[in-house]
Amino acid sequence: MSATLVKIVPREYRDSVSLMQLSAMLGKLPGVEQASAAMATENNLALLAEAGLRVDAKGAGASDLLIVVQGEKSALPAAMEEAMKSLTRQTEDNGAEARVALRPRSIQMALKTTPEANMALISTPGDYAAAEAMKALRLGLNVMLFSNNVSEEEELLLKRFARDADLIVMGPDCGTAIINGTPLAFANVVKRGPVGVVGASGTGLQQVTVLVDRLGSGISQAIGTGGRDLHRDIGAISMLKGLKDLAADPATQVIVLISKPPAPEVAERVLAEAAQAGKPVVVNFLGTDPKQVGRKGVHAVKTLEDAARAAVAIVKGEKPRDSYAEAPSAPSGLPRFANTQRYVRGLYSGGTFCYEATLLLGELLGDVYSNTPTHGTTELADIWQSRQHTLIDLGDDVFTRGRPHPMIDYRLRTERIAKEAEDPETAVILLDVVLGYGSHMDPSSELVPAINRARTTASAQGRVIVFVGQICGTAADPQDFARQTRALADAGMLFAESNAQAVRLAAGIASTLAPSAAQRLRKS
Amino acid sequence: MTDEGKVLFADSVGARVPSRARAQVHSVFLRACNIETESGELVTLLAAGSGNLPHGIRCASPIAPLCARLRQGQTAILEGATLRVPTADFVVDFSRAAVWSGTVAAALPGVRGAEPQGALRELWETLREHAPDQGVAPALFSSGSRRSMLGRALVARLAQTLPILARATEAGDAGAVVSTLGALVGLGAGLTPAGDDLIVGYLAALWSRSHREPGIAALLRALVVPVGQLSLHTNAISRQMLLDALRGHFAERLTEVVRCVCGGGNVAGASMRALEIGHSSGADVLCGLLFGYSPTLTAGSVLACATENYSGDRHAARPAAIAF
Repeated sequence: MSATLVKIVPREYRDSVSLMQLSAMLGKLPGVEQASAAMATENNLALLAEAGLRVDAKGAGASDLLIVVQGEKSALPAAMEEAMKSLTRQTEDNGAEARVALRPRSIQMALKTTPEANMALISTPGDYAAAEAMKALRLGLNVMLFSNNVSEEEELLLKRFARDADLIVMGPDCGTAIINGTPLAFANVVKRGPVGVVGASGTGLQQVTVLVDRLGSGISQAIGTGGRDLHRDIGAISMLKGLKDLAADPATQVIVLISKPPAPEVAERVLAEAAQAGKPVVVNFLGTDPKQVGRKGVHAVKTLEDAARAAVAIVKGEKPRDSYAEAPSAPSGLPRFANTQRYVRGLYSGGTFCYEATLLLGELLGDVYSNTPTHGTTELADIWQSRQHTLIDLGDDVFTRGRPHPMIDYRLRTERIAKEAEDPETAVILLDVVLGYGSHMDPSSELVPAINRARTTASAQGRVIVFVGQICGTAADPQDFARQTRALADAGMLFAESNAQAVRLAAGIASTLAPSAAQRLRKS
Repeated sequence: MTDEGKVLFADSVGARVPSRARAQVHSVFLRACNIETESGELVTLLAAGSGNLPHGIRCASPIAPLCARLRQGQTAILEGATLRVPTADFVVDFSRAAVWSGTVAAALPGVRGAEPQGALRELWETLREHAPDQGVAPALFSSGSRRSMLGRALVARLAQTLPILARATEAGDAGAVVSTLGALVGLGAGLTPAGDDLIVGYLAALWSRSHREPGIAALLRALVVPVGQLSLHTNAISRQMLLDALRGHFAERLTEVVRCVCGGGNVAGASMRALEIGHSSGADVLCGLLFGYSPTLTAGSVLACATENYSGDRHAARPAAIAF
C-alpha cells in the first residue's frame, strides 16, 4: 500500500533547476514511487490531487515550498530527511561557490592567469561558440570546440584560420580528446604510450584508446576532429593537422586514424599524407572496404578493435593482421528461448558504437533496422518501436532534445529496455556501457535494476532475455571498472571485449534462433 | 566588487524600479537576489551578463560574493539611485546606469503588418528541437513517453485549458480569458511555475498584437485588474512578473524574441538565449508567446498531442509542423 508524506518549507525559494534536481533525486531513492518539489500554490495542490497525490497541506501558501514523496511508508521519512539535507547542502554549496575567488570571465583573463596555456576548451551554446573559438585562435591558442550547433561555414572559417596559424581546431561537436595524458570531456584514463590517435568520432576514439590500454600499450595523444572534418567542404583540415603533428611527435610510434566514411577525395588526400607520414599509420574508415584504403605505409582495418590491435602489434614489432575477428558463435549454456524470440535489440549510448554495430550486424544477419542506418540496413519507420533486428543510437538528436546525453542519463535506455522486454520477439539486448570522465558515475546502478525488471517481465511470459554488452573503460576510470563489471556480470550480462565482439556474440546467439540467420552467418 | 568592497555599480536599471522605497531582502540566489518593498513590489538585483528585467538592477560585476552576505529579512533602502542593505554593509549605485525599458511596444517601432509566419515557424521548430521535456512544451510537442504522473496531469490540464483560452482570446471574451487563466496561475513545477511563465509569454504576444488589433488592445485593458488579482495565487517572484506583464513590461530575453519575430531578426538565436532561463521557464514563456500569436493553431497542436497520449497512436496525431 502506497503512502504519502508531505513537508512544507515556509518561504523557501530555490531556483527551478534546483527544484527539478531535488524532485529527480527523491524519485530515485529506494521505496519512493514519485516525488515532487514545487511551490505550494492552490493550482499545484489541485494538480497533485489529479496526479493521485492527495496531500494535506493546510496552512501552506504560494510562497512556500511543498515537498511530497509517495511510496513505501517505511521509506518515506528517510526520503524526506534526504530532501531537507539536500536543501541545506545547496545553501552551503551556494555560499561556498560565492566565496571562491572570481573565475576568469574571458579567454583573455584566463590567459593572463595561465600564460603558458596553449589550448582553449570551448563549451558554450552554439550561437556563441564560433566567436569564442575565433577569439582563442587569434590569441594563438589551439581549440577544442565541445559545442555543437556550429555551422559548417563557421567550421570551415575557423579551421582555415587555424591552419594558416599552424593551430588546430578540434571540433565542433568534439566530445573526446586526451592531450598530454589529460582526458578532456568524455574520455577514459589510459596509460601514456606510443600510439597516437586522430578521430572524427568520439566513442570511436574512446574504444581505440581503451583497447590500446588494455592490450598493454598506451596513448601519446588522442585528437578529436569533430564529425564533419572529413566532409568534402572541410577537407579534413584538422585530421591532416593532427596527422602532421603526430608524425613529428617523437613520443608517437604508430598513428591511428578513425572516421565514418569520408568523402572520397578527402579520403584520398588523408591517405596520401598518411603514406608520407614516415611512421606506420593504421586507418579505420568505418563502412569502407579496407582493401580500397590500404596502401604502402597504411594498414587499413574494418573495426575499431582491429585498429587498436593492429597498432599495438606494430608497436610490439609484429606484423599486423588484416582482421582479428573470430567467427561468431553462440556461447554454451544458453537458456531456452521461446518460439517467438528471434531478434537482437541494440540500445546504444555511443553513436559510433551503434554505427559499427549496424554495419556488422547487417552483414552478419541482415534485416537490420536502425534510426541511424548504414549501407544495407533500413531506417526504422518509428524510432520508438523496434522491428526485427533493431539497433538504436539513443544519443541521436531526436532523443536528446532537452535531455542529458544517454551516456550521462540512463533513463531513456532503461525505459527502452523495459519496452523491449515486453516484446515477445526480443531475444538479445545488446548494450554499450561507456565509462570515463563525463559519463555516468555508476552505470550499473541504473542498468542492473533495469535488467532485473526486464528479466522478470519476460519470465512472467515464459521467456528469457540474454543481455550482451561491452564496457568501454579502464581500471583507472573514476567509475571503478571492476565493480561495474562485477555488478553487471552478477545481473547476468554476457561481456565481450569490444563493441565488434559484442555484436558478433549477439549475432551468434540470434543465429541459433532462426535457420535463415544461421545460414547467412555461415556465409559471412 | 570584492568581498571587502562596499560599493557595487550597476550598468542598467529597469524602468519600473521604484525610485524610493523601504524594503527587505526577500530571496537570495547565486546570480540574483530579490528585494521586496513595503508595497509588495519585488526589485531584482542581477549579476553582470544577466538579461534585464523591468524591476531589475543589473550590476556591472558578479554579485555572488554579495549574495553570500545577504539573508532573508535584512532591511534594504532604495533612494537617491542607490540600493543599500546596511546590515550587509553594501551599496548598489545605479546613478550612472542606463534605464532599460522592457516594453514590447518599444521593441516594435512602426510594425503594422502581420507577424511573419516564417518567424513563428522558426520559433515552433526551435522549441520542438530544444525545449526540455518538462513544463509546458511536452503538451505541444512530446510523445509523452517519459512523463511523470505530475507531468501528465499538467499536460492534461493544459489540454483542457488552452483550447478554451484560444477561443476566448480570439473572441475577445475577457471573462472567459480570466477564468481559464485562473486554472493556470501558479500551476506546475519551478520557482516561477510553468503556468505563470506561459501566461507571461501569452501576454507578451497580446501586447505585440495590440498595436494592430484594437480588439486585443481592449482585451488587455480588461485583463489588468482581474488577472492582477489572480496573481495573488502564486508566489511573489511570479506575481511581480505577471504584474509587469499585465502592464506590458517583460524580461529582455523575451522582448528580444518578440523583436525578432516582428522585425525579421534571428528568431532561433534569440529563442535559444531565452531557453537558457531557469530549467524550463524560458521554454514555457516561449510556448506562451507562440500560443498568444496563434492561439487556435497552437491549441490544435496541444489537442493533437493529448489525443496521441490518450490513444497511444503516435502517427495519427503528432504535429510534425504547424501550418503558420
